[in-house]
Amino acid sequence: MADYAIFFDSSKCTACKGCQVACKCWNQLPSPLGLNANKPTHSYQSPLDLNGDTRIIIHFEENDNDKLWGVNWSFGRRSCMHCYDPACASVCPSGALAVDGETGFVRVSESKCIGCKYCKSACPFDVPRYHGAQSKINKCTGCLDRIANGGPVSINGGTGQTQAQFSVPACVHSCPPGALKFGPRDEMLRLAHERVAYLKAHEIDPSPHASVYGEDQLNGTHVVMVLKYPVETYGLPANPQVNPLTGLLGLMKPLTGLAAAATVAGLGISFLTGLGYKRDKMHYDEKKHEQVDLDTGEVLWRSDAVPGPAGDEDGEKDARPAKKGGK
Amino acid sequence: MTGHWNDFKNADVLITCGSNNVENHPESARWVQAARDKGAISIVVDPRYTRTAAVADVYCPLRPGTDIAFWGGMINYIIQHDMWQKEYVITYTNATYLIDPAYEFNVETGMFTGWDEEHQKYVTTSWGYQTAETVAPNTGAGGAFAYALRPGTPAFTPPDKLVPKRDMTLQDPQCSFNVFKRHYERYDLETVCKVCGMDSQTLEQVYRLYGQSGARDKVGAILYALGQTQHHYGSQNTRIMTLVQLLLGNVGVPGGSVNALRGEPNVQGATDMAMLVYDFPGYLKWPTAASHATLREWLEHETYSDGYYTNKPKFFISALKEWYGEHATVENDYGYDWLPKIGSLDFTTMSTFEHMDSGLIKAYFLWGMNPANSTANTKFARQAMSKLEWLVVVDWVETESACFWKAPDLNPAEIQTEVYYLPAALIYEKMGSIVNSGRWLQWRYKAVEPADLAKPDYEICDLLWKEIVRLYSTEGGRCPEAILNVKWDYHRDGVIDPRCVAMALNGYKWDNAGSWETRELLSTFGDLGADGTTACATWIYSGFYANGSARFDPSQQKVGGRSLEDKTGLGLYPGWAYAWPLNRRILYNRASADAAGKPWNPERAVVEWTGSEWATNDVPDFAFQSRAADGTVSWIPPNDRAFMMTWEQNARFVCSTMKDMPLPEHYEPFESPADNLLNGRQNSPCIMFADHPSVKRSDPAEYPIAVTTYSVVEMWQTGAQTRGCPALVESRPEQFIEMSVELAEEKNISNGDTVRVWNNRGDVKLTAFVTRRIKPLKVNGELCHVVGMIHHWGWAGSFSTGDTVNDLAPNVGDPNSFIPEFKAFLVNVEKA
Amino acid sequence: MTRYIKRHTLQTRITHDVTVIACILLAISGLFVFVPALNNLLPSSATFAIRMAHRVLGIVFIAVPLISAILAPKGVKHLLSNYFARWDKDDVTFIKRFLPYMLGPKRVHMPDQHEVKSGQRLADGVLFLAGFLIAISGVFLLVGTTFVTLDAGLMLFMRLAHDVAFVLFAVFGIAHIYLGAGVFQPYRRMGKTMFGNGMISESDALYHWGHWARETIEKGDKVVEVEDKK
Repeated sequence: MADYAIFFDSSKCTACKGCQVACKCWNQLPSPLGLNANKPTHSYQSPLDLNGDTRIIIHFEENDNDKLWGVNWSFGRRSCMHCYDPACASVCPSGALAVDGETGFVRVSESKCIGCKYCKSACPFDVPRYHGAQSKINKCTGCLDRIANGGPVSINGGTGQTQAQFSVPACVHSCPPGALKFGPRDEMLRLAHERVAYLKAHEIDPSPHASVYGEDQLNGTHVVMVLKYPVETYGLPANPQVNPLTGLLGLMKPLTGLAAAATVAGLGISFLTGLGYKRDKMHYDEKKHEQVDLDTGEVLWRSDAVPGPAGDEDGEKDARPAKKGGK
Repeated sequence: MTGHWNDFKNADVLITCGSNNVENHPESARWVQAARDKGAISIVVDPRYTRTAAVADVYCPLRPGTDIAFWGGMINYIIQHDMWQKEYVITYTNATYLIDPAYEFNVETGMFTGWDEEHQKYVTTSWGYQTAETVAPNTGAGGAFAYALRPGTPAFTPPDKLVPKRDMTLQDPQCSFNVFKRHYERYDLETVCKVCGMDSQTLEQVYRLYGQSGARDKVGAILYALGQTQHHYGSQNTRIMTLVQLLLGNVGVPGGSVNALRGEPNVQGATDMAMLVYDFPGYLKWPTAASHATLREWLEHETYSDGYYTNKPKFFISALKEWYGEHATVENDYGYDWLPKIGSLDFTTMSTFEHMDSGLIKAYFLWGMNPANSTANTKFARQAMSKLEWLVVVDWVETESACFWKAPDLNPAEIQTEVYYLPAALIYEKMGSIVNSGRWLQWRYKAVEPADLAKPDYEICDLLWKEIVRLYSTEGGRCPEAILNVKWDYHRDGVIDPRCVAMALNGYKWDNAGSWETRELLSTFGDLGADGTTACATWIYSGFYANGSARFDPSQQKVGGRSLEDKTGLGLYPGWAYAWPLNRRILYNRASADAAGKPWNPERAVVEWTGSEWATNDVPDFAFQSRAADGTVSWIPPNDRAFMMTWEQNARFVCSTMKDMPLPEHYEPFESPADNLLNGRQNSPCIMFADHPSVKRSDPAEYPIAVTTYSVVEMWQTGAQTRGCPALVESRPEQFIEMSVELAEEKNISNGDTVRVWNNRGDVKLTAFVTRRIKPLKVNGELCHVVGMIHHWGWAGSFSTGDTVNDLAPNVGDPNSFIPEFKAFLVNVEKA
Repeated sequence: MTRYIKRHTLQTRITHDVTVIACILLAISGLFVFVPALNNLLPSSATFAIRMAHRVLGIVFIAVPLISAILAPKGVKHLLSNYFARWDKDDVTFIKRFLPYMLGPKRVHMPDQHEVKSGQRLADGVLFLAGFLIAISGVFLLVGTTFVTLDAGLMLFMRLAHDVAFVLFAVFGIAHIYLGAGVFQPYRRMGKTMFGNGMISESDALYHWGHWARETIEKGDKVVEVEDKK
């Protein structure tokens, strides 16, 4: 399988939100239309979180630096990480989420989505969101529609010399500072390591906490990040874990199938053994306190005690019938 | 700009001051980052820690309005530490020129010599040079003014050249450089910190890092925008940055320059096209009654004695020829008298509202402008507008100006103004050329039909003009020649066509019987004449649309060029679009090489003297060849004339052409929390409009908080366009004021609180963002609080509305550019 | 003339039957979420409709027994006392012989039982428990995917609980149907008790619940005599 990745360099990101808007435009995701209908966020970050119509947001976080002026201002990319072994796809019952063979991205087939939201509870990054009456999944598709139709496309009707790569995701295409790139994952990883080394060794403004994110986390993701400041300041889990219950859930299907099959099989045998069995008709004479086989007349059971009220099960009325049943 | 944004990648050090470039010019971030990738250092100087600061290497704060103190300190530091580029300064600038002995700056009074108390302005003679000799103009064959004798050229006397005295050793104390050096000796680190409010360690780091670009092979770029210009000394802010760049040898070099980041192309285009009161297209002067009553006066007043502007009459006469066509003849001074002359009244933006208020202006055309929400002291502007008899608004959407009567502070019942709204087509709905910050003219093709009744501006213009002409021809009127003699032939198949306009802008050989199908297009303004043989609307654009064999196909013109070839790797891209003038990518490129013509840095070679000729990677911006009378072309060996657009052909330290100062001097903003520590005068004596009663100056005792206003990346100007985009509104849903944690504690304000911000002019409510990105500054030992506000909201629009922040800004301004002081004034703040 | 014993009241039968139908439909609709191959057979809008039906059925599945219990507290008490009655020797014997009996009803004979068989107590008890589990986890899943955002770990746990309960349902439910619907030869006619008129013939009652049958006949109030059909 070919492996591609989106590369995000937080140290170059200017938090212009071009990616946010480009994503909305390309994927035709609506924004609120009422007058002053957007919830004020009281922050540069807006919207504050992903939602049914928003697949990517820029995360803003200010932390004190050790200098006299300014802050450590972390600009994070909050969107699908496109895991190698996506927990969302593993719990998805409908195949709406699946790993794309070309890129390794987690593709979305909205038409298959049944709105069960299993993916939301499985995602270690809390990414999936839902929209519409059927609660269809809304998450980054990796713009596979662009990539699949990729290749250079002429952008003007003029000389034809102009070519622009439309074969990258919309967010990458929009990024003015070049903080987003798209390419083979190993190449993106190489860029990331180079950049982290550069940031750490910077003469004037070194970043001792700089790190590559998405290389080892969850055995790798198809979004590779350069984080200038500590991981947590980007709204990302330092050590993302797939909930082990996800694995157990995966076991439940075969287990249920097996148990059901075993039960049916066992009962099948039981059924065969029961074929042809015929019970005699029984009668209970409440006067004599005798239970008799109507066909043979045989007394099957007789009360040893004076007949008493029902429910006196405590008594050791150990009157065993000689025979019960049929032949 | 003298270069282009992609030229930033060639810099060794970049300093952004007075701009939040990665936010408000997002594409610039790409090139700053490209420079950083190669190890360049990026510095940001700004009152607050912006998104630009977040991706820079060094951040230094400063109090709004103290830029000249900051840059003056840098000049002083560079000279004190001997970091300046001596060969460059001595060769290419007026450093060695001797300034008039009468010149003086009085620190006590804060005044330069030459103040005319009666007229309240400077007489700038004493700021000029000492003259060594007077040289008469050369009208002989091959002389600069030979053309003046050609038949058809209006009679005028070319000016004498006053050759300045020079001292190449810089010993004479009146050397321009020595005057300059002395002037900034007061700007020491300690004083600058007291004025600007930062600490001296940070300041010195910035000076040291940027000063390193003074090395011969190093180059530094300054990026600025409205943060520098929107002050009552904004022109001097930009000039002092130029002085820093000259001192360090950073002008004309790839990766250098003073980079004015323009927002929308219309800023560059509007100045090129002279959408300014005192300008004529192509950076020529619009005639004034006082100085240019006749064509002869214009020619004698405006033509330079030396340098390229000895040719100015050619540009002006060719323009008149385009305006009046066959009606323009040498006998009638090419119709010069039909041009309206500027009288004694000022009609720049701020004056316009004063005149409206006084009843002088009764009708108003607003074309793509939204002053009811954008100008300084908008409340006053709106009230003035409400006195209009009629108003025409041409815009994409219903702006605040188009519905100004709906403003919360106005009562529609009391307003009688008749408002006409003409919907304009979007840029995607029409074809035409645009010009960007880097002077690149590019062609845009129509993508979709205009929505509904919208029409392109040129079509609206055409309809209006035809009706005006019809009324004049049927009903007559005052001075009908000025209207009826205008050549208005930009139609093809009866429809106005921007390609015809492009040919007019480009210039062509005049032929009375010519049409747009046949006219011979010129490939350079070098072919323009002052004798009526050529017509050209905007001389600087010559050559951008010159392919006569495919005259209606822009893609076959240089303006439509889309070649990505970049031989030098410097990002010059000569085949992509057309950089005026003459497709020159870096202006003043002679200065990219030393006195002997060798590039300062071989990796940044633009032009090079090989010993016998010039090797060029860009169109040379200097006289590099001469043509003898017999047509023989010969190479001109290296000389010191690197700035051919000045008559000296050198760049200027001390200069006498600005109205307010020969050298930039620090004054405090009109409304400032501090006293001027650098001289005895608080504001520039040339401040404009400060006495208008509408200004209502705010007293620092009552309004102690310094404020600056700015834009954010998600919104554009008054938001008329961007607040109409739901995705953008979603990304920036509310207007905010940013304040320090310290001020918020003092005022008991928490993040997200609605706060009231007010001064004598206005009163607005917005959301508080409490942040450590803004910190109180120590100004002259006292704590000074600074707040910042964005200004993109108003009452119009369907998705997001809010208060008009520009209500608070003072309508005072710069005497050179008439720009208002949006960037530094006073307010008070409280929890609403 | 055959004697019958009234075993289940109308309310009991309705409660049981509605719940059983809901349960079966829930299982089917649930399978469309649970088994990818199944839901891929249908367009997602159909699957969505099935999911919504699952929720409605889930509410029925929970609400009907709950309402019934509220309406008949005595019945609940009776049910509980039966289920938690002390185990006697017959009960032990029953359990010991259960498997051999199931695989050889002709050879193995079961001891008499009281109103609720010991096997029933175990098997139906599991069904009750699984019911509770699947109902509670179902409520969490419904609320957590529709009204509020719950912790992802909690939701996963609830999903697992739902699935575990479903396994129990699958095993014990099938067995219950096998016996209760009378698929197993000795249990023929059993289905009529719950899905019919609530009565069981004297002979069948004596076979399945010997103690209870005799006691009930002794008391006589629940005995009905019906003319045999020709």
